[in-house]
Amino acid sequence: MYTLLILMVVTGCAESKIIDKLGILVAVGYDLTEEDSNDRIRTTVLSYKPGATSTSTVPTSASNNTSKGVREKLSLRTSTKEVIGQLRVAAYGEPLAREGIITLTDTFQRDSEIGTSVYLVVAKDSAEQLLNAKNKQQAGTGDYLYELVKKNIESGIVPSPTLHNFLNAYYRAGKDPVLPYIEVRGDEILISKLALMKDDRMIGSLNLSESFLVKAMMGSNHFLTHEIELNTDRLRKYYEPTFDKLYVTLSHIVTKSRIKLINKDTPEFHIQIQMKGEMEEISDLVNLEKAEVIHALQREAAETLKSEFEDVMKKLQTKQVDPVGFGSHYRSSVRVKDFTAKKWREMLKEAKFEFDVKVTFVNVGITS
Amino acid sequence: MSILNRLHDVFAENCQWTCRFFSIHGSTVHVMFLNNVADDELLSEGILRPLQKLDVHAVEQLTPDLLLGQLPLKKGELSHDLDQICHKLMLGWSYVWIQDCSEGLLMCTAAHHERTLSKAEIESDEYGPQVAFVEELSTNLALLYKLLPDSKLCVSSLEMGNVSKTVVNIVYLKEYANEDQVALLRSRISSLQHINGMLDSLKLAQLLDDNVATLFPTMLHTERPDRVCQGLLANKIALFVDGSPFAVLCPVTIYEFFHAGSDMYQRWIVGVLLRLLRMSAIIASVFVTSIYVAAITFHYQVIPPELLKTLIESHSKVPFPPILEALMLEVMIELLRESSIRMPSKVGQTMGVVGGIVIGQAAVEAGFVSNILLMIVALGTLSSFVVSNFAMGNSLQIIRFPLIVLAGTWGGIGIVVGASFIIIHLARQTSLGVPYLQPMNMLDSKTDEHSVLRMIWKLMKREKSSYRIRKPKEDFAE
Repeated sequence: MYTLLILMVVTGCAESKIIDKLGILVAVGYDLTEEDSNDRIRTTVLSYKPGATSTSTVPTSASNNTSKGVREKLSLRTSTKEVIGQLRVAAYGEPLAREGIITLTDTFQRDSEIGTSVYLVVAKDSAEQLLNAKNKQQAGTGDYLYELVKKNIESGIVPSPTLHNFLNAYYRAGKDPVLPYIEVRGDEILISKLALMKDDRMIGSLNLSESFLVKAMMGSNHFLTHEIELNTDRLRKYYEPTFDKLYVTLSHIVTKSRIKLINKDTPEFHIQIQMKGEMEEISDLVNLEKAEVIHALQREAAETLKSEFEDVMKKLQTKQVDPVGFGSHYRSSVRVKDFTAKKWREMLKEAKFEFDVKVTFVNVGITS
Repeated sequence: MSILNRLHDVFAENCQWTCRFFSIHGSTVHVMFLNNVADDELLSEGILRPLQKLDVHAVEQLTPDLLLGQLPLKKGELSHDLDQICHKLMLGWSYVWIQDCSEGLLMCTAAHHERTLSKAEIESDEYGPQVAFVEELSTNLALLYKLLPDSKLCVSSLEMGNVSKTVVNIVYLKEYANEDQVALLRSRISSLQHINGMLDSLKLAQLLDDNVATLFPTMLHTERPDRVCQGLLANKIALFVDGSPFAVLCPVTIYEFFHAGSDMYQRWIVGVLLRLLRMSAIIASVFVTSIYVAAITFHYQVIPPELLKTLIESHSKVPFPPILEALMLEVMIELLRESSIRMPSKVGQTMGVVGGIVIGQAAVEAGFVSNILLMIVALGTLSSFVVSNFAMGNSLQIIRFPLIVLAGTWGGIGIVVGASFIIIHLARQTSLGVPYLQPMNMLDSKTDEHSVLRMIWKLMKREKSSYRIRKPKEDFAE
């Protein structure tokens, strides 16, 4: 007991961080500065500040050559102590993302205050603009961004863009990161596509349906809904078409994918994808009482998806990026000396992909 | 100098002292007693009336032996020892002395001032026998005999206190209780020669403790006869002090302080769940305020984002650092607790509830404390009341304060340091040589099935409970 007392007196208190004296960062944004400026990076932070009536997030910006060095300048603009421990989202302006962001993510990795579950996103034009934007719901931009990305990871087309996943994909030969691409349109903040990263540089993007397919290839995932266009030629015997095209919408989709290397010289991959979902809507009147009609619809849906998968793989091959991680799969199946990202990019161009898609409608009646 | 004169000297300054004399058959008979201490009816029916009606012609000489046969009282003896006579007179006995005899008669005419049996007030419970002990030792023992009418039940009587001369009973079941422990207890009691007044069993329990420096009680006091019987059947020893409505059970482990009688009488699922609830409430009551202080002072990272905004807003109006704020509120709650115990019961209830809410609400509105802290402190206090044993409840309340200070200076590390200190301290304690944390420190087939959770009655082949005994400290010093 006395030891404890003496210890307390001798060591004194730890550095206290009382929450209402802090500016707690929820989001940071990084941009390139204008050409003529001496500094290289413009940092915008979004932090909680206790106000007179309510607590809200306030953006502050400053420029410097390093992202942490900017704190010196930021502290001149804020009355609170800025701390990074509650950081949820880090946004990178597109011009910066095209130049590479690894030096900026590296500093997060070193920081013991934050975990590796921070979401990284790419902002169209500028991150400063994104963090200053007002959204329709009048919610704090930081919270809104976090919830937006989180929801779309859980049940949408965004593969998890956490710092952990990003660094994992970056340092692993044969896998590339993908990040959500966020746009501001008027008073709306939205995820418009996925940014394809080659190492740490953004080199292109995937639209919504491509994003769905890429995420479906990455292990087991859940999706809220997806719309599939069906080829009507072989379905005519089952119904009287009123429109040229036929669409079905699946909801509560569960996908499972299994990637197998079947030829290590080409290399050739066999990708088995199982997709289960409730058929929520169909764009034409089709009598679904017979099992054979449903089977035919499932077959057609699988056909469509298969060709779409092949298209998206062709696109990825021409861009020489590999967000799914076929390279690391190849490496785990074949012992290769000096397997590097560069080698894999050459091999990826020649690789062949064979898809085996199976679609199951678990329910065509009343859906929830 | 005759006994009469000597007694007159002793009681010269006592206005209750009464001495009556009768002339019977030529000799004078003195009846001495303390008015009001001796029972009026017993005195007149048992001594005065028989003396008046004594057939004086049937006997030649009036002797004390003869008189003893004539007085219809339960207890009576011959005595000439002045100390004994004085002591008995103080207890309400009467002394009948025939002039010029060397011996007199001590007759029991003691008045019993006792309240009627009532329901347990402090340890009230919904199931089980409802009666509670009273201040009269003989009544308490009668309650015990009613529940355990077995010849194995041993009651050995000792006298304690140089002035109070209190009767202390050691009660145990032969072949159940550990003989060494009984002997140890006896030797500890007999070593307490310096005690003048033994007015309550809680004082005795403190005097018999293994370690005086600990905050935690190592002997359990209870006012429920069924709890004592449960303890006796579980190899424990019970101590009764005349005049105290609490029996003291030893040896005990810390878990037994958290038990309630109804755990055992309800269905086992309910019993087990209630015990789990109680255990978690105890942990919450000890740690919840300090965790709040640590989180808000040092570890803003651990606060869930949904809560962050509310916490910042609630604390931004408070001018004090969280540690001061928490200590202030805890002291306030302690004041409320303490004052509501001393208050007359009619005011107490209203003051306790309304006062708490009014003071709490006003403190929040005035920006003195934050409303989230108020809620957390209230939660902690509420949780501490699940302990039916108030000695343990008080200990738990007190250890919150050092934990809050540690949390406010060192944060989470401080809480861990404090918790480690508490656990190490508890692990070192013994109750009559039995480790305080048993069975947590040595889990084997010999441990009590009921100690932490409870066993299903039907699954038990026989009711047993035995402790592993650490060698008791031989010499006991206060």
